[in-house]
Amino acid sequence: MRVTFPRRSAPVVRQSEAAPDAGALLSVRGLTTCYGATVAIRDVSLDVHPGEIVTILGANGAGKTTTLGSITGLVRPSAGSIFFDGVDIAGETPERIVGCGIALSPEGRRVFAKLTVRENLRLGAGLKGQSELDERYAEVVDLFPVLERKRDDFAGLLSGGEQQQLAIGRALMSRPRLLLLDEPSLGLAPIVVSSVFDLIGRLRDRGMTIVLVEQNVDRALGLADRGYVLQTGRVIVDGPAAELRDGSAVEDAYLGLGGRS
Amino acid sequence: MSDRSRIGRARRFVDDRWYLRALVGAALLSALLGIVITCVQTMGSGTDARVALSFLVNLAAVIGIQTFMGNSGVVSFGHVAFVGIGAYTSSLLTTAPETKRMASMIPDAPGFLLDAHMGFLPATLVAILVACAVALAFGIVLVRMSGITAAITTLAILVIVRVVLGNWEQVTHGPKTFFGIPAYTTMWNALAWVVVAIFVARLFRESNLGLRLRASKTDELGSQAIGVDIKRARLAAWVLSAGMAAVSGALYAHLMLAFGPQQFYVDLTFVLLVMVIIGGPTVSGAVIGAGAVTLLTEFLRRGEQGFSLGPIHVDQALGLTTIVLGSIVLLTMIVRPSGLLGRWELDEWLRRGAARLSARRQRPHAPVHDGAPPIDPHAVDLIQTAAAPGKEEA
Amino acid sequence: MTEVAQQVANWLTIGGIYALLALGIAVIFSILGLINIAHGELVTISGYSMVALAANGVPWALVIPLAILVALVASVLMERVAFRPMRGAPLSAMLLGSLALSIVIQNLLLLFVGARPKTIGFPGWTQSSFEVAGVTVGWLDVGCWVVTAAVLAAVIVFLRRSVRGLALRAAAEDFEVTRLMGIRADSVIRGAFAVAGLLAGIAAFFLLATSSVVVPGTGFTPMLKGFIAAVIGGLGSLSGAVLGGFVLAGVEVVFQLALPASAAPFGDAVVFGVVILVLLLRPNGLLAARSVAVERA
Repeated sequence: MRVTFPRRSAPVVRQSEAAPDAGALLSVRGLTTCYGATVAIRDVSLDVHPGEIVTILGANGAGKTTTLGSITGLVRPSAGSIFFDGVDIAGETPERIVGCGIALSPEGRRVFAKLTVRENLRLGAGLKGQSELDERYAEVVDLFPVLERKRDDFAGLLSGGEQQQLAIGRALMSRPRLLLLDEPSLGLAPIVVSSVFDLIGRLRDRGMTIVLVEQNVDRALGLADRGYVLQTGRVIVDGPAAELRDGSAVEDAYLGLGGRS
Repeated sequence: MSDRSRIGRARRFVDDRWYLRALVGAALLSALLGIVITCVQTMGSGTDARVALSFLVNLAAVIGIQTFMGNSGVVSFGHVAFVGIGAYTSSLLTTAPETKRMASMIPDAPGFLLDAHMGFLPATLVAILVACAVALAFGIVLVRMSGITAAITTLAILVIVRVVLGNWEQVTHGPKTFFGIPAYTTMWNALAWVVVAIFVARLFRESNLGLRLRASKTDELGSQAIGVDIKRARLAAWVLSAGMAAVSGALYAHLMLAFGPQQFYVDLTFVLLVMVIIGGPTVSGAVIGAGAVTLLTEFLRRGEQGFSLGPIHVDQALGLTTIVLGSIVLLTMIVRPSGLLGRWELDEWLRRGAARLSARRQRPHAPVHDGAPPIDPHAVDLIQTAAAPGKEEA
Repeated sequence: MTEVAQQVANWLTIGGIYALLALGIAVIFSILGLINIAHGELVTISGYSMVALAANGVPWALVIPLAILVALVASVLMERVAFRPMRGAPLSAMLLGSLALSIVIQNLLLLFVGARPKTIGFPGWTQSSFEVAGVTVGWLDVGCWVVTAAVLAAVIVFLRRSVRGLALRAAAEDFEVTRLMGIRADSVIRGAFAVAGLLAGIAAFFLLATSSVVVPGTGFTPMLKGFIAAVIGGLGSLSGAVLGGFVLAGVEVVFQLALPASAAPFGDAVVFGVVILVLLLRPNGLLAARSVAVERA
């Protein structure tokens, strides 16, 4: 049983307008988040259009996880707006934001190790999604057959790649319109990384809109439509993935050279 | 920030040597305390003097508890046990043999105890030794635990000692009052013991052991990685603090001249803990916290006899003191869990203030830095979670 | 032989009460990493409500469930008033805060109800008993065993099968990610405190049915025992709490039998001494939580 998510075409748009992009599913403007006195991200703006994969790149500590954390509500932004489908969700609680249709596969996967695979997936649907549990479960295991095979195993005993599938599957259980993936390749062997990226591609083919935070630059740019590069909390360059791949901007960013301030 | 003046050189000389820092800090605090006590003694009423005296007696215990809790970060419900041990041990040694032999006291106690008749100083020293020995025995077990388990163990220690003190009829007179204790506690010898406690506490805090212990408070794993022997440091703090608590017990016994085992249980524990919490993790904090709570308690105690708030007249409000104290603790934990005074000693505050002043004097327009901006603990949590490693594939 | 049977009966009753208290404490600990020292006050409050209800002629069939309900509500109130504002504070702060709460409640009761012990007029059937093979068994004891077993089973089923129970277990493991599932954090925590209150209320009935007397400090020692039982069993482990309750009761009963009469008053000290030993050998309790410790010192 093949299920596809509703798909709309993805227009090529250059960012840099201050107002939210009307065609975008997610539109972040001027996002600034601080931890106490430390500014983690400053004036970050990005757009994600329906059906595309946008990747956020940057070295460790550049602010990638903070950006995702601000979008999902785990951290309160100090300034800026986050427009999801035209509605500003900045500063909302995670529970509400998930309810709007954003789901996260966190860095390090963070599956519930002491619960079984099935229980993990069940929780992904939230307390409200229980009525459609069977449907959603079927959709997810269609994408990730291994989760069905290991459904009664404790999540903590799965391999890294399987846990990553579980984390993504769990996120999908809430039938999100936007899927955020935080470093899905982290700690995985190259072969497994390939299959994970294949999977992400397949999700895009089914119409899912994805924000992919990655350290694995090549893979990410090979898969994404567009990308943003963060350096010490700011977006220093962005554009279509092909441009980023060919240019030296990304390299410079990682090495701490150049970039606009 | 180069300050080549003589003051600057002297300051750096002191700063570089931990024992000098400790001594200067302790001296400053003791001087302040001494001034306050002298004022009360000379200008205050008899009631004021009594309040100040019981403040000093409690203070010795509070400094002890702070030495353990403030440095190790472990909550201790058990120190009052050592106050009790100090009280009983010293009293057994100072009380006249004839009193002890009375039928209404402890005629069946072992001979050497019945015959003992020492002065305050030797009796207190013995009390300190006994308390430290008991603390050592429990401590060997305690230091292996951390967090909740340790806290519960201290609670268990409190109960164990309470039960023993309350039932060892032969020696402690069981649940009945132990009386006939000579009145050795005066304002000045109490102050003297407290000053000694302040010096010991400060020296421990600045010493290697104290420093290591405080490092383990914020990052246990990290400090273990660089070879810090947390167990030994904790044990030292524990035993030292027990000794100070014993001093408090001895002072208490020779002030009240009679007591029972129920005095060394949950109620006293609560009062002392409130003082420690409000003051925060420093020795200066202990003194200030104890002072603040003593003043507040005095004020409230008068209220317990009945008061009028405008048209409202309350006749007797037993337990009002504790309710207010408890509410203050609750509020403090909600608003400022690290205590009202933060983590710097009094002299450290002064030094930082002076440093800022001199820096501003030399470069009046430059921003003044104290070091790296403080990291928000929530951020640490988030960062640590973000850095949680995934499982490695073979 | 009958003596042994008698002691076994004792053990089951005391163990059941301790298990109920320990489980209530453990549920909150496993989610918040916090020991609620004021848990004992739930017992006291429940006791006083039994006094008030019975004195006002409410039939006993209603008094018991109402008193349990009071404990449940009190627990949820505690969460709202004291623990929610303290969320995010270090562990020691929450320990001290809950101690403060406990003392404040005790003194409020002292102030408004008075220090004199209040008697609960339990109905006759609580004292009745019957003989089985030479052993006197009280109906109350039987009731305690049955109810404890039923309640513990119900809690386990709730936790393992229902979605809310699942959410509780998930929250215990990773609170943040649970929120990311769209599960409201507040709701989960409130649920935990409600369960704890329910358990405390049930324990209160069986506890007070024997002594029939309530003073402001009634709940403190049971809380202590429940606390210790939870730690012995392994903080963070719910089945450990239940096990710990029976282990602690067992140690108490054994020592009461084994110790000579002169040493009897020292019984508590010995029991607590044994507890320290257990903690020394197994610092994480007998059934240490399966994955990384919940210790957040």
